[in-house]
Amino acid sequence: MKRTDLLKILEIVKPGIAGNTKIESMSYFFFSGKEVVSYNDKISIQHKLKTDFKMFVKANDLYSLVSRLKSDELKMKEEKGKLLIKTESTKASFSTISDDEVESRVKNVSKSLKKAKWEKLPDDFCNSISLCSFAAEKEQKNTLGCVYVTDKNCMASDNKRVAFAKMSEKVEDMFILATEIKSLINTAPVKYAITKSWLHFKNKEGCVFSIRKVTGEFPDFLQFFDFKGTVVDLPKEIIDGIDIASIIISDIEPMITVNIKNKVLLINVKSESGKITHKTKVDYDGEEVQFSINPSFLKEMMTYSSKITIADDKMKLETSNFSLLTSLYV
Amino acid sequence: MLIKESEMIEMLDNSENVLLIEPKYQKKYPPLGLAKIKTYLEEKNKKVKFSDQILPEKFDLICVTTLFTYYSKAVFDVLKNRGFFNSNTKILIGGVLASIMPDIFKEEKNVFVFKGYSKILDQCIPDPDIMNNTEDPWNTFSYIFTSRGCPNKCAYCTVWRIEKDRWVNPSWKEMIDLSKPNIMISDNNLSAVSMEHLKEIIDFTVENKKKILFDNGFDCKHITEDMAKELSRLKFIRSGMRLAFDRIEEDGIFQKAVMMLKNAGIPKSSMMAYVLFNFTDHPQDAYYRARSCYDLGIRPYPQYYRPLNTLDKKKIFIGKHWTLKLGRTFRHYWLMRGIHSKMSFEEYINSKDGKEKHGIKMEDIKTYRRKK
Repeated sequence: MKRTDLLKILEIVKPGIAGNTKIESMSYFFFSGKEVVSYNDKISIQHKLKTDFKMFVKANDLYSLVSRLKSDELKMKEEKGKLLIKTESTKASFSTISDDEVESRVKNVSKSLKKAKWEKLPDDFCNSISLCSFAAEKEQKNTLGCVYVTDKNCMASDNKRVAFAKMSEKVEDMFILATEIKSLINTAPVKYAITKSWLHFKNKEGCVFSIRKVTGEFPDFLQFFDFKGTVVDLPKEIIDGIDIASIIISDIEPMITVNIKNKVLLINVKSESGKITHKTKVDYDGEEVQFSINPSFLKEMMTYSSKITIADDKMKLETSNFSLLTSLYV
Repeated sequence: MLIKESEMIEMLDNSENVLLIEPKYQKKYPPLGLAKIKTYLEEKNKKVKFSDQILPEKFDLICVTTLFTYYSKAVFDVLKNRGFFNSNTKILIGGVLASIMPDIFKEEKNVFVFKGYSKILDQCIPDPDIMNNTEDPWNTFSYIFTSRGCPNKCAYCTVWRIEKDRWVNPSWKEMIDLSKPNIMISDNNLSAVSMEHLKEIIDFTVENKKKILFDNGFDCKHITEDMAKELSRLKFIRSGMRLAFDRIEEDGIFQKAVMMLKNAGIPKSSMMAYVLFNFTDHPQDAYYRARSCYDLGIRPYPQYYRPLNTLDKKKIFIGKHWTLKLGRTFRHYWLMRGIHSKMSFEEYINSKDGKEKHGIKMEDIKTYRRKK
């Protein structure tokens, strides 16, 4: 098979490999014969790949080898319980393990897929959940740690800010763990299905990304969007500020701080690489306002609207499709 | 805004839906004050929730406890993150930090500070759900204050500033969960209360076959042979009979008290003495006090002094006769005494370990040797 094809598949499946786990096989790729699967109890990703064998192989070792090989073609086969990988110049053999317990959990996910009723995702689904995910409380595993999707609405909140997006089409209610959204979006899902314990997302190539279901209630944050306050026009120059700040923004947790005081708007960003401050004039001379925001979210919003509304204890940015509400105590 | 006990009780009585918060800071023991408030409210059929942060739902009142002053950031994190549902909810703050430094909350909107303790709340049985929410072995204890206050006015201590009256809780026995094997008595100066009260505690503990830990230390000057004899009837947790040798002025009194306790039959392993250092003391004084404990066969616990208004733990206070490295090494030396038992502290700071592990320099050694 083509090395780059295998590498692409492993890259897609890799987010389901557990970093720190007591269960060894959760840090392994599972070749089921029909698919290659990663499973870590929170998510499971399976991608079609026909093999003549069934085994667990250490994920990091296999991925590192495949990414470092130079040949275009490679062969994979099982020999005496080991996984053999051959190219023109390299021959590698990897120890494998079997784990009935994890294999049966993977099978359960696959079994639930057989009953799944696939529905189309709106075209703006990925963008909406991605833009909202920054406002979720990522340390939480309850509903506040998720992006909540209901009807055409998509929202997330850590109780200090609420991000809201309106999608073009309806979807069934679901809570998607915010920590898994980046990996999910990388698979470019186009369909979804909800089963008893899992949310499943499928892309055009048939790769299935399953996230364990979170159940519970989502507080009614939308009631707080309706308030009166001072409307401030944000200068278009802040888009330049966002672009400049983007140079050092962390990929893992992209965030900028916006501070408005004495007719000056400051965009601040601090990361391991350094610190950037961008200054712009603004027509606002009221109480100091400060909020943190995902730069992509702010940039996206600035393309639709440049107005924010400021009240004593909160502030909102609102366009036709996206809104952000921030508590000003923070 | 500072409020009186009656005003605090009125706030609790007028609230139907209350959130109790213990901010996210390091701690071993459960929040006793909040556990008592929970009981008080639930007995009046109020809805109560317990958390470490403000939850996204509407409450009538939020009660926040505070601990050491240097954990102030965790408390302000709660106040600043009120969320959308509670931006105008009244917040009641109590506990150690609030009692010592109520003024730091002056600028906070809708925040009411209660200083000290409430006799009404102190008589409520602590809620078991909150009390059991600790790690082993701390979940095996009943935590009680049988009395409040201290007649001493030590400059380094906060008790006399926040517990002004001497008061014996008439309901203290009810606070003890008899299903738990151990009792932790946190009275700030139990030895200064009457002998009758102490005897009552001892009788109760012995009758109920519980082990005991006197957490806040006995005042040596009040220990008599009769008291030692009574105390010897108790079964102690390891290091459960706690004393203090905080000042060099207690030299002689401390040793005499320890001998009385030992002669009465209290095992050395049951005793421990707090040794305050880095205050106005000289390092050699501190070493003498800790060494005296060691020579008597009891464990000295080196207690690093921090000013009572320290709001940030990272801002380290250095006593006028100390250096930072000397203070840190002194604490390490006594906590790890088993490892360094063959060396005096002076030998230790001059050793390879002292210099390499702790970065001791000549300046530190000179500070230690400096005459008082």
